[in-house]
Amino acid sequence: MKIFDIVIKDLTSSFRSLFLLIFMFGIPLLVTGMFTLMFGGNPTEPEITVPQIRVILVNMDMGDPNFQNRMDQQSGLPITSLGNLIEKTLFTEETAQYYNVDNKSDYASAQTEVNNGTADVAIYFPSDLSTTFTMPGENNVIEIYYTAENAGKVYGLQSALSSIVDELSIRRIAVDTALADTSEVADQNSTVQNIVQEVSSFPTTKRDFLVDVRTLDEPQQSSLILSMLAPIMGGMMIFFAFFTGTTTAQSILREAESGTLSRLFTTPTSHRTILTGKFLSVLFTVLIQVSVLIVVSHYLFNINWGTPLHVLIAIIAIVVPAAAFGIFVNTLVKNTKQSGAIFGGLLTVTGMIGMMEIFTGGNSSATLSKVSLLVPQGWSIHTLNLSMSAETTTALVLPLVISLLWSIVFFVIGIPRFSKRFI
Amino acid sequence: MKAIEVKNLKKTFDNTQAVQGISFDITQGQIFSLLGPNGAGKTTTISILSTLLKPDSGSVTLMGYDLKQETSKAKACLGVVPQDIALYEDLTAAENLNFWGKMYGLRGNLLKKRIQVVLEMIGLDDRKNERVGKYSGGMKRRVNIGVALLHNPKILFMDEPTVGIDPQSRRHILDSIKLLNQQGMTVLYTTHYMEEAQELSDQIAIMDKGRIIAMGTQAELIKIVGQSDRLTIEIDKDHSQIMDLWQSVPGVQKISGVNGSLDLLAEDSNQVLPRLFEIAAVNNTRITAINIQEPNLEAVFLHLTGKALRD
Repeated sequence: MKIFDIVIKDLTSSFRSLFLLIFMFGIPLLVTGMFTLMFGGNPTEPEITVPQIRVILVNMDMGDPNFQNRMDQQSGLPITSLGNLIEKTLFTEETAQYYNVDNKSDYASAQTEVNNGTADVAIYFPSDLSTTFTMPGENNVIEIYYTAENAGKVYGLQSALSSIVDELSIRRIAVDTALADTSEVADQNSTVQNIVQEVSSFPTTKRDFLVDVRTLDEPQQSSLILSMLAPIMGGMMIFFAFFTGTTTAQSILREAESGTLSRLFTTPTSHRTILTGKFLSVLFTVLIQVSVLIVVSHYLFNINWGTPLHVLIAIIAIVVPAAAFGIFVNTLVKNTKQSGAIFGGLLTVTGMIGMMEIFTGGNSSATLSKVSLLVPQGWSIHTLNLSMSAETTTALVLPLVISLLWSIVFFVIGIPRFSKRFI
Repeated sequence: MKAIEVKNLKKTFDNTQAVQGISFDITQGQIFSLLGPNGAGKTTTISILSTLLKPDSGSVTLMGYDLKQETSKAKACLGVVPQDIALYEDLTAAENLNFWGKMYGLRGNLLKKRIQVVLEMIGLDDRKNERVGKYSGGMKRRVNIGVALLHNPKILFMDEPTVGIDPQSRRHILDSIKLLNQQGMTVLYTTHYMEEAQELSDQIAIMDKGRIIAMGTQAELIKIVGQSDRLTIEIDKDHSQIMDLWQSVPGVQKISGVNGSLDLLAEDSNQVLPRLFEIAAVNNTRITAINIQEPNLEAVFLHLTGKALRD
């Protein structure tokens, strides 16, 4: 019970220290936030607002008798022409939020509207589109009209339209080629039937690429930022977790110098209880820090740290070595006056080595990656990276075990040294 | 019953014998003062009695519990007020008392009651929720004492608790010690202020260089120097030359000097003063100030060691 009284007292002291709070939470979040701003991203809003495009569709396609008996598999409505098929594929209920489609019959006036700015783009299907499509060797043109200033805006629509047309063309070529190879006596009627059958089977429900086109640039940028933020945030978190471990473990030295540790030893509380309480308070302080940073960064920067189990393993692989490291390095100094330079040097050097992969933008060589594993921070980062990359739980066991082994080494050296000094 | 028994206590740091085989007993309910200059061994003694230092040899018993064998039971009888303020400055007074109370094994309502009692005793009930770091030196001293009183110990060790504080806080502390003593608490008090030892103590042990050089009640100690007067004389020259001349004056028992100021013990100041003036005049030395004191502990210390307490 007294152990936890000491822990609570130390936690209260720690979390009342503005200095420590800034380094525990402020700086890791601030640095990551600065990177976010530097790259112009807002990872909390991955869905990009796309302005609605005003489309005038001039579908003059007269159709072909071969299309009359075909039905749209999704809507159950008849597909009367190739133009009709393309229209149903391109403009659906799902894409209605992106396109405001206005059907007109005069292509010239549609072009005028585009020129006037009352429409963004005009699409023209010629009247013989279906007919020429079902005739081997014939070609036709679908026109898309927009001004230069709208080129970027309609890029997605143009790409989607091109994709549909390309795929339809490929199917027709495939049918033409197949018929030419298998039967030289195949009559025109059977060719048409085959083309239409093949084209009509074109799935109007296949719309995923439309979404891809529309969001071609922005989501890629967003995921790029996220792919950078996660390791930066992870690196900052681990660096400052080790800093916190060292700083809070320093409270043992501070208490020794201020006389409160001696006073504690005059109470009917065993020295072991007191030191255990001090060690646990270091552990809990780092645990709270890492847990808060994991949660806050998840919501603030939309970072996915992994499954709850993986995150738990990663937290253990960060917190325990950070606390043990803090206790260990405090045994290397006699008083707090010595601690500044020694702690600064140790934390910086080991931190830089451990975070080599992050500092090199993930482009470190295999050798550098191995070097980073020479320090406990490297294993903590390795575990966190595995948690984020959705590896199997088994993959996290080895780095966890090695992180804990580091901790055991630190404890085995550090605790007896402290005990010798104070017990 | 003996509250504290100390036998042949010794402690050496490197080549310095800080405590050289001291022994004393303190009866329950007494205020016992260890009086001596800085470096006399008072703090080392109290640190050994508080279990902060292990003695090289000797034994200590607190309320019948051997400090070495029954440490935890002995500590439970003990409240310690360290010389330096030992509090958590980022916690409030109430939080400090709450924490230290728990370390003394207090819980629940008993702890709450004791915190309230102590806050009222140290006069900080109305400022209990302020962080100790914002307190004045005197207020911190009071909390420092309050911590040691939480578990209502049978024995209280106070190591120079009034060093560096304002007169009002000093008076508050001294009055509190008397009050606690009236309630039956045994107090071991170390100081280098003669006045405090005289005001508080039932028994006084005078320490110098790790030894107890005299021990007894105030009256018993003053008997050592008889009815001698203590004279403090300041001159306008270096003291060394005239000190040898004054030493030979009939009636001067002891003399010591520092920086133009001399302390003398004389059987009768009225008889020796004219002769001292005469010698000073012959040697072209001007006497700039004279202070005559009735026999007191300072005089005892001077008598026993040949130097003033403040040296």
